[in-house]
Amino acid sequence: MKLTLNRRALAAVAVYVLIGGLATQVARAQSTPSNIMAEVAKRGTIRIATIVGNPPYSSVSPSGEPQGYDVEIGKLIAAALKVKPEWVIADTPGRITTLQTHRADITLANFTNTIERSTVIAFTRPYLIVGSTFMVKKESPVQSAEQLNDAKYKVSGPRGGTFEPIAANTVPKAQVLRFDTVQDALLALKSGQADANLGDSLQIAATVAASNGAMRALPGNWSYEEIAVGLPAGDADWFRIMDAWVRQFNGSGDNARLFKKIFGFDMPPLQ
Amino acid sequence: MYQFSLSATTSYMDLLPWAVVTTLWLSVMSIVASLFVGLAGALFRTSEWRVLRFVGATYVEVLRNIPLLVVIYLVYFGLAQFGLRITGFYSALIALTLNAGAFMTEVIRGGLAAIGKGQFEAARSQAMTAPQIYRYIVLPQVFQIIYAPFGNLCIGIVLGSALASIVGVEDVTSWMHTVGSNSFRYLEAFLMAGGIYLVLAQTINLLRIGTGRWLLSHSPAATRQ
Repeated sequence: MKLTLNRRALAAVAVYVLIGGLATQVARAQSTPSNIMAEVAKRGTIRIATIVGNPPYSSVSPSGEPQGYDVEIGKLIAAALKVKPEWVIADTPGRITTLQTHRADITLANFTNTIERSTVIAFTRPYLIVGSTFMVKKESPVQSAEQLNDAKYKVSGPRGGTFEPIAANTVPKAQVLRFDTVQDALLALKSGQADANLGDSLQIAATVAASNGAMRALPGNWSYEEIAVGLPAGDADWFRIMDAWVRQFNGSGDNARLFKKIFGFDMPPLQ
Repeated sequence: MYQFSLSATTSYMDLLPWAVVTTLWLSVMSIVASLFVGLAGALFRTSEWRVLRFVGATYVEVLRNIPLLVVIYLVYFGLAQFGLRITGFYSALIALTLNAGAFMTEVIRGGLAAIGKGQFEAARSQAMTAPQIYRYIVLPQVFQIIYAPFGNLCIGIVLGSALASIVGVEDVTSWMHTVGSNSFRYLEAFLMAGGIYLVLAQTINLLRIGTGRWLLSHSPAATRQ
């Protein structure tokens, strides 16, 4: 009996030590002043957080390599810094966490700069301006977003993105289905689990173009979103370097050419 | 710099009770359903008929070797493409039941195998029918044997139910993502969800222990030991 009690006491102490150690680690990670550029140069790699299942921005090729518009941008940034890209695969909400916890140096993932996000992480100037549109199947009776605002319709979108507030504002009566990835939200529409998909206007334009007439976008744009490179907050030098890179990427026309190559149509103006 | 603050999650507390109820309800229904599936599967696997044994073995080997995530996708997205639109909740329930039922089959089969053939023969010599043998002789003993592994399966189901959020079920995991993405307090949201799952799994475990004690004290086999 005494042995049992001792074992229990030991186990309890072990758990407390573990939790205490973890808390100290977290506190240390949170309080260390960062000099990301120096770390990147020393490591020889830039850790880039991205999401998968979000073509044509970022997805995984059949051979397991990340591919897409954001991935190409990441490769260009790494080349400019003369380091190698190291991909950190995150989910939609994880785009912020990876920066907060310094598991990634930048996030490139169809990432909208919002005021709320800007309170916890930093963003460069935008490299793309997108909106939000609804997409339905060709044979759907729905012709407008107003018509979609009905409790009998289900609208799918990714959890933790800008989709949720937009859906709540534009189609408050419709049922909202939230998925972990953009691809799952699209699959919900394709499989018939959802009646409409709300998403990035350019992505929907690309999906409609690739669907051979099986999908169509509803008229109207429901948001203004500045897609930018996400950075950990609090490192002014790192922001300066990344923002300068984006400025030159936009100004040189490299961005517009890359966009055309990947999306198949002209890049909308950065206004 | 990041400042740890659990209080940042308080404004999302009104959404939590429903999320907990959803997780709990999904888990309990899956446990009960998988118990029946497992019982049927085990009887199939120990049947005298080769066809039934084959069906049972195929079910176990197929479902036990496919990740739960894939089964959820198949039920939710796959069946929808054939026009069968099952809601996220019921898709998760079906997938969890099919998955846990396969493991339950093996656990119950193990329990059945531990019952000596002599007991069946003795019972038959007393003119007991097959249902009577199972009801009064076999199942009470099997229940005692599988009691501990059954507990592990119950906890596995509670934790497995976290995958339901991928098909839009508004459970504790979904709540966790909502809190994280709206408040940017991911660490706090993850810790809260972890704590909630710990409590839920333990609650179901205690329910199992309580039910088990009650059942054992009312079982004819209990007097034997």
